Amino acid sequence: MAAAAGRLAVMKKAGTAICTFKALNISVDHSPIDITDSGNSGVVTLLSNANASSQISMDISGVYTDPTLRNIAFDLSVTKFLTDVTFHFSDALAAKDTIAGNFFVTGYKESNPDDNATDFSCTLVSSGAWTIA
Amino acid sequence: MTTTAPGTALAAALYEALSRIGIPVHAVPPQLSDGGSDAAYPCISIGEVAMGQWDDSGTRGFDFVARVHVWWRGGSKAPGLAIQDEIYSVLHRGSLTVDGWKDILLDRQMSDVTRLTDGSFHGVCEYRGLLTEG
Repeated sequence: MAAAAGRLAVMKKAGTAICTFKALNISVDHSPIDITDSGNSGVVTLLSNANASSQISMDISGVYTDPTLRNIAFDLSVTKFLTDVTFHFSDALAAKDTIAGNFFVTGYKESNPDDNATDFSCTLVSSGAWTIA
Repeated sequence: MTTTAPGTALAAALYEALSRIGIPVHAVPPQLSDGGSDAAYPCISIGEVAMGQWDDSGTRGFDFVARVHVWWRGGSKAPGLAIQDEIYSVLHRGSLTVDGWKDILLDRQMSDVTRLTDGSFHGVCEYRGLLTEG
């Protein structure tokens, strides 16, 4: 195992990097099915063979340099549903280093401080099954 | 992709901008053989430039603070303050032509004046800027 520089992670749409960033975070949430009842004496018990939902979230932040994400977010005529999105983990392993799926842009923010550069943040969540290869 | 840090190009850009004020600009204040001579004053010198890394994942950048010194002799602070005001007019929220780099902003952070033991005055201003390659 080896450490890896975070800047080597990449998020792409149809094979093209969407933006450069200061931080690109990815997380996954698996919500379990709670089957706790009176027989569990108040101890939470979860269904072992299924979960209620699974979803990946990605949030990106950085210095604004390109309007691609802004246009997706603010242009009502542009779909927020992005197909063919890939996330390439920073360590570039021989296998299981790339997530592929469809994502929805749920939020975008641009900050314009008077004494600093414009920066942005954007959040995407997965829709449907994804693959890791 | 730019591979050379902008230190030299930034110094040249500061020199070009400060030269518009119309008084001598130096990298280092000149030393005259006659220490009592006022011939070298007033003058501006470009002092320390602290360059901080301001990269993102795909673009190189620098967050810098440049110190601009003003040296003068006389009986009051007024001449130097006037020069500092002119420097402010040229640099604050102005633009620099830095070869190979794009300036994002340039702001004055502070200014100060002190009287030296030989009776001359020394003013210093700090300007903060952001550069990205391109």
